[in-house]
Parts: sequence; C-alpha cells; structure tokens
Amino acid sequence: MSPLLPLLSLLACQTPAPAPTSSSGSGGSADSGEEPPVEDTAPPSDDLPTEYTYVPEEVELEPMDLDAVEAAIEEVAAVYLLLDPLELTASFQAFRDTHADADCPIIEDRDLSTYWQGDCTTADGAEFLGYAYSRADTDLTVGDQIYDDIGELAGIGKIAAPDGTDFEFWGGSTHRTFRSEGSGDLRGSAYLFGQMIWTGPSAEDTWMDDGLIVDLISSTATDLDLGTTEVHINGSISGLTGATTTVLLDDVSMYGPERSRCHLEPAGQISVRDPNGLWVVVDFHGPIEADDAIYEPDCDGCGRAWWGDEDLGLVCPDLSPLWDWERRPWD
Amino acid sequence: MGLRLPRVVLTATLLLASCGDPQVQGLTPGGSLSEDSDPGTGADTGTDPVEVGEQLSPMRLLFRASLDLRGVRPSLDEIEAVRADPETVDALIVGFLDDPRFAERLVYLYDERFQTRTDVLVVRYDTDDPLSLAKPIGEEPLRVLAQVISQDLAYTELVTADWTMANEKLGTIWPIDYPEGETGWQVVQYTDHRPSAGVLSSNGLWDRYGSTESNANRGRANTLSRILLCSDYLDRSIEFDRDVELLDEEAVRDALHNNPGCVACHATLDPLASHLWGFYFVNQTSPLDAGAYHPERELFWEDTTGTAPGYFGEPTLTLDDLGEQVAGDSRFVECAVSTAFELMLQRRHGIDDLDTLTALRETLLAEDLRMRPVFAELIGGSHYRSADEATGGTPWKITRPDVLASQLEDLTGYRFTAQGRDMLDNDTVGLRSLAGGMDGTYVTVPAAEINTMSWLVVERMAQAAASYAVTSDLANPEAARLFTEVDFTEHPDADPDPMIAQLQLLHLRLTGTEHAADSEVIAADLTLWSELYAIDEDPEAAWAGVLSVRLRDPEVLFY
Repeated sequence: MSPLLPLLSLLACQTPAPAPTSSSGSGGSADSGEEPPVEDTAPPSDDLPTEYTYVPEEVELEPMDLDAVEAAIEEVAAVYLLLDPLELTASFQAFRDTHADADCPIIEDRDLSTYWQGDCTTADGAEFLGYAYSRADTDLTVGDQIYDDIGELAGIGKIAAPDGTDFEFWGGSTHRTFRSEGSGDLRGSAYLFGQMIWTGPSAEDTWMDDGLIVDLISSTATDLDLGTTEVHINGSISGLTGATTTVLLDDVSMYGPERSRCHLEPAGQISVRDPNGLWVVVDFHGPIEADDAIYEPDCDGCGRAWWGDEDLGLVCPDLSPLWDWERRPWD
Repeated sequence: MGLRLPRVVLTATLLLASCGDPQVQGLTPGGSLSEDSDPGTGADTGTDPVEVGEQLSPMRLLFRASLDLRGVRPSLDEIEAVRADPETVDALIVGFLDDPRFAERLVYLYDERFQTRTDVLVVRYDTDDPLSLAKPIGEEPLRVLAQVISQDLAYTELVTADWTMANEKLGTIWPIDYPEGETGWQVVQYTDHRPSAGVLSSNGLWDRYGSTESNANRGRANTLSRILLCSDYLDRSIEFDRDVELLDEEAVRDALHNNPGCVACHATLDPLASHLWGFYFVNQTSPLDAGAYHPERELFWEDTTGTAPGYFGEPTLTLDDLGEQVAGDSRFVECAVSTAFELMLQRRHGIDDLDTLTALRETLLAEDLRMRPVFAELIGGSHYRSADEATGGTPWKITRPDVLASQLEDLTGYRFTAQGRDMLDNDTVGLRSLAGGMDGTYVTVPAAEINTMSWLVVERMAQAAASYAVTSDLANPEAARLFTEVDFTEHPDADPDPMIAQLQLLHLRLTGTEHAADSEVIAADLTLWSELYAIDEDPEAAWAGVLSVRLRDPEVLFY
C-alpha cells in the first residue's frame, strides 16, 4: 500500500490520487513509453567480484616476562592478605553512622543486621543513594562457639560526605573466624565480592583506597597450640597496578610447614593477564589436602607457566606469606 | 517551549480539511500541483513537477539528498542554482557529504540498526537526570560509526579501533581520558585496559544489550552478527527437538553441543558469545560494575557454556581477535554496503538489487574501505534517484521524526522542547515513537506509514513552528528566515504583490516549486489567508495559519 493512503484517509477528502508508484500503476513512466533506466552502477556481468582480503596490522605478541609473572603472583598474595572484610564492614558502618541523621537515610535493625536505604541528603549535606545491610561483631560467644569476628555486608550505592569524601560500593562480604571453647582450632571463612571505593584521609593505606575489583572466597585454619596454618582461595582480583591488572586464583591451597612437608608449593592454578589481554596460566602441584602424597620434586614452589599452548618455563614465586601468619591472614 | 497555538492556526486545520479546497489538492505528493510545471526545475510549465520519467527531478533529488545527508531542506541559493542549471545538482549533493551535519545524520540513520538510542538507563548513575545520560550512552557506538564514515577512515576501524567517542557527560562516569574542561563529542580512549575492538569494546553497545548468566552473552553475539554481518540468527528456521528437557540444565547444555537442532546455531553463536564475558555485569545497576570492563570475567565461559571463544570455526582468544575476525569477514563489507543501501532507500534489498550491491562493494574495496565514496555512489545511482518502485526506487521516503524536527528548526528556528527535552527525541516525556520513530527497546523499527498519531504530531509541530516563525521574523526582520517579502501589514485587497511574492517564496523554499503569481495555488493561498484574517483581523495569525498548512504539505511528510 502506498504510504500516502493513511494520510489521505485522515484528511477524509476526495483528493487526486498520488502519482503511480508501483509497476501496476499507469501514467508517469508508462505514459512516457520509456524503458526503466538501466542500472548504472552494475559491473559487467562477466566480471567476478573482487575478493575481499583484510590484512590486519602485524603485531608481534611477546609472552609476558617470567619475572613479571612471578612478581604478579607475589603481588596478589600480598594484596590478598590486605583484603580484610572485617575492615570493610567496620569502616563502612562507621562512615554511615558518622554522616547519617535521623531523617536520612532510613535505617532499620533487622535480625542481627542494620539495613538502610535512601536517595536523600542529610541536614549537614551528606548524600545517601542506594541501600545496604551490614553487621560486624567481634569477640562474640554463641553457645560454645567463640567468634573472633563475624559479619556481613551487601548492597549498592554511594554515601557522599559534605567534606568531599565518599564511599561508593556494590557487592559485599561475609566473614567469620571462630573456634570451639577450649579448642585451639581456629577456622575462618570469607567471601568478598564487588568493588568498594572509599576516599579521604581515613581510607589511605586501606585496600578500599585502591579501586580493586574482588571476587574471592577463601577459608583459613590454624591450630593455635600447634602453630599449623592453611589457606584455600578461589576467585579473582582485578584493578592491580603492578606487573598485571588481573589475577585469577583457581582452587589455590597452601599449608604451612607444621601441616605439610610440601609447604613451598601451592595446589591449583594461578592465571596472570598479560598486557595483550592474554593469560599466562601457572600450574602448581602442591597438596590439595594436607596429607596428600606429593612427588617431592613437585614441592619446589615452582609452577609451569603456559601461554596458550606455549610452555614458558617455570616460575617460582615466594608465597610463604600465605601460610606464614599466626592468627588471621588479614591481621 | 510548549505548544500554544492561536485560534486562527487551529482554524487553518479545519479549513484545510474542507473537501474540494484546492489546498488539499496541493497536499498530495506527486499529484498535480497545477496544470503547468517544469519537469526539470519544478517551475509552472505544464507537467508533473517532481518527476522526469521514472527518475526524480533534479529539484526533488536536491531536496531528498539534503534531507537525507543534512537533515534540512536546501537553501534558497541551492534551489536557485538547480533552477538555473539542473545539472549542478550532482555536485551539490555530493558536497553534502562534506557537511558537518552528515555525521549527525549518520547517528540517527544507523540507529535503525544499532537501536541503542533508548531512554532506558539500567545503571543507577549518580544523576538527577537519567534521560540526559541515556542519550550519550546509547550514542557512543553510533558516534564511533559516524566518525569512521565522516572522517574517511577504513570501515574496519568500526571493529578494531582503540578509541571511542564520548562527550563531557560520559567523561564523568566512565574510565576514559576525556579532556578536562572540554565539551562535546571527542575522540577518547578507555583507561581500564579493555581490548581494542571499536564498537565491540564500547560500554554503550553492551549497556543496551545486557546479558544474564544463563543467556551467556548469546543475545549479544546475535546482536553483533545482526548489525555487523547482517546475519540474524533469529531469522533462521529451527527444527526444535521437543524431547529436550528444558528444565534440566545439564540436558540443555548437552543439547546445545550435541542436538542437531540446537547445534545448527549454537555451534557458531556460542563461541562468539564467549568473547564477551568481560562485559558481563554481575550487578547491572551499579555504575562501578557496569561502567568498567572486567578482565577477571573473561574466562567465565569455562564455567558456563564451556565453549571456548572462536569465530565460525577459527579459534580465537580475545575480544581484539574478534574485532579482527569480523573485519576480515567478507560478510562485513557486504553488510556495510547493504546496510547503507537499505537505510538510504528505506527498504530491504532484494535479489534484483544484487548487481547494485556488488558495484557498491567494489567501490568500498577500491576506495580503501571508506564509506563516503559508497554514499556518493548511492546518491548518484539510479535506485536512489528512481521515483518508481518497479525499477527499485523509493518513490516517497517517509520523514522520520529527527528529520522533521531538524528541518523545521532550520526553516523556522522552532524546536519542540518541553521540560528541557527535545520532544521528538525521547519517549519518556516526548513523542518520538508516536511521531513514527523508534525507541530502540519496544519499538525497534520506524513506522512504515503515516498513522493517526504521527499525523497529529506533524500537525501540531507545523502549527507551533509556523507561529514561532511569524513571531520571530516579525521581531527580527533583519534575520528573518521565511518572511522576507512582507512586513505583516499587507492585505490582498490593498497590497497583494508582496504577499504573492512571499507565497511564491514559501513554495520555493519548502518544495522547490515555482508558482506563477496568477496560478491557482497562489490564489488558493491568498483565499486561505483572507479566510483566516477574517476571524480576528490578525495578519500575523493569518500568515501563521497559511504557513502551518504549507508545513503540512505531504512533501514535508514524504520526500
């Protein structure tokens, strides 16, 4: 149908018909007796179309230097030890309580957590946008369980203080470190995911000042009497500023020397993203369980680095900080 | 500015609709405006003023190309040039490709494919005005495309560039090196170490096309295939196996890899999708999460689909690789020319168009993959110039809302805004979809016909623009846009000559048609003016009424 017809019907009048626009119409071209114009852009029919070839810019990709891989792995171990979810929750709650007033944001206690939500400005000019619930307790005894720390945080939003500092976040954490009364077996677990950016003097020297993007689940165990330690980590840390931007940790486990004779070598895989966006994957062969029997040469602390199918050689990062601690890895 | 219309202007609508009124006859594009018009120039000499055989007349070609490539009607100087020498039209319209407004037009034109200019802002950015952020976010990939075409860059830059486009608003919310203190659209780079893959690396594209974990970027993969390769998986016929237990995740996963009905698409779709996990957002509403590229998620495919990145059987690793593979795909260049062809002709291509598309492809290859020569060839080709559907032409193109708004602004200075919004450029408070446009989310193709609502929008726009033009030209005659021949004191009985000259000029400016002083059309206009004047004896209102009728000429709705 001609696109004109609805318009003409809207006018609800008898109007002259539009000029014929289809092959079935008469007038115009038919009256002229002319043939339709020959397609003036068509190539001669016996010419084949030119083959399309795209020559990409030649880029010689070099694999990441193994020293850099080693440095990246050591950096991520050091960063992991800084990633304290308790510090996050406590700092966040303190920032919230400092800047909230009676009207902004809405704050409620629900079960053991405190919940807030808002899109508001306090009388002092602090802005709250989003929501969060959180809880942070230390030295808590429940039955015969003694918690060094227990807490959680989840939410999305931003708190902007009048002094220009702010706390912007999405994601959250859960964490607990506990033992049974009378036992030295202290166990901990932590899940930390998302991004928390805290600005201002108080944030300096905390991991929340660095803009890291974290998705980590980890567990720790130590026997306070025997001095044994172990750690298990899964996840990723991005936003690093050293030898790499991003490291993935897949089923990484380590045991201290009091727990395993293979304490230099982690189990699992650590992947380091190189500047070209490719991944260097380092395979380690340490014990998954503390008493796993490991071929002794595999306990040298060195993992084989792979860049795609290419064997780059061995990297031997010093990961002792992951087991060389006393009470909590993030102390 | 709202729509406050004088009573006389509204009355003009009623007079216009009175049956048998010669004004109505004048509102039929392609119809007989008079018994005497010049086929080459549109002057009154006796035949159809808008067509030469089956080709557009040079004047109509001038108007069509100007609206397509600049969003405005040609200037009086350009009209006069073509009147004087119809052959100048070719050089004139090719020159439109150098006009700065061409890049702006590309943004709107290609949105029919990208569909990113939506009002929807999923991410909760810290702003009191989400709509003003949604627009530049959606335009990011379109501005990259406009930059590539208008700056004569190789079209492959679209998927390989290490830069993007951003304005000052995006500079405050995204990790980009937008220059401090600057405003407007600028070439910038992301600073979050994301791959360099042109629009495939743009936040704007993947904000619009999100993904759930279970969809695993497959919808996005189809989007890139649809836009860049003109291959829409949803167009394929599917023989679906009803025995697959859709509630069993493992069974579905197995079927995607082994069931012939599923493999037909997923064997190539899923490897495409696996490139895009860096844009997977765990929390789509968080500016921190959705504003950044996530290298830590690039390998999520290992735990979701289990399908490694690849390009139609070719193993790949990164998003950069994907961009290079798309750039090297012969379908990419074929899609480039067919898309330009279809957008410029407002119709799908068919088998009869293949010779033309092949020729355009040859031009693209011969011109170092620059698209401007392709556009030049398109507007010089017989399809674009044809007034006959039977020979592949589009006799009348529908005026999209953006072209309606930009041409009315150019003609009269009027832009329909309310609450600080361009009312033809959004749907939240505006009328974009109602005016025949698309919102990119719920309405994904523009209207193929004028409908009740779009006609109503045009009517109100014409009335408001006409009133605005009269008011502003009266207040500032030195800079008058349309009313240069009258000072609003004339009356047909006492001083008809300036009024006739004014009406002739209006016709010329709006449609390129020259009418003799004693022609039926001019006489009808004067009659309409007199009838409107009789209502309130207000000459300004009468002129506004006449102009509002002229602005509703079908040659404004179609071109």
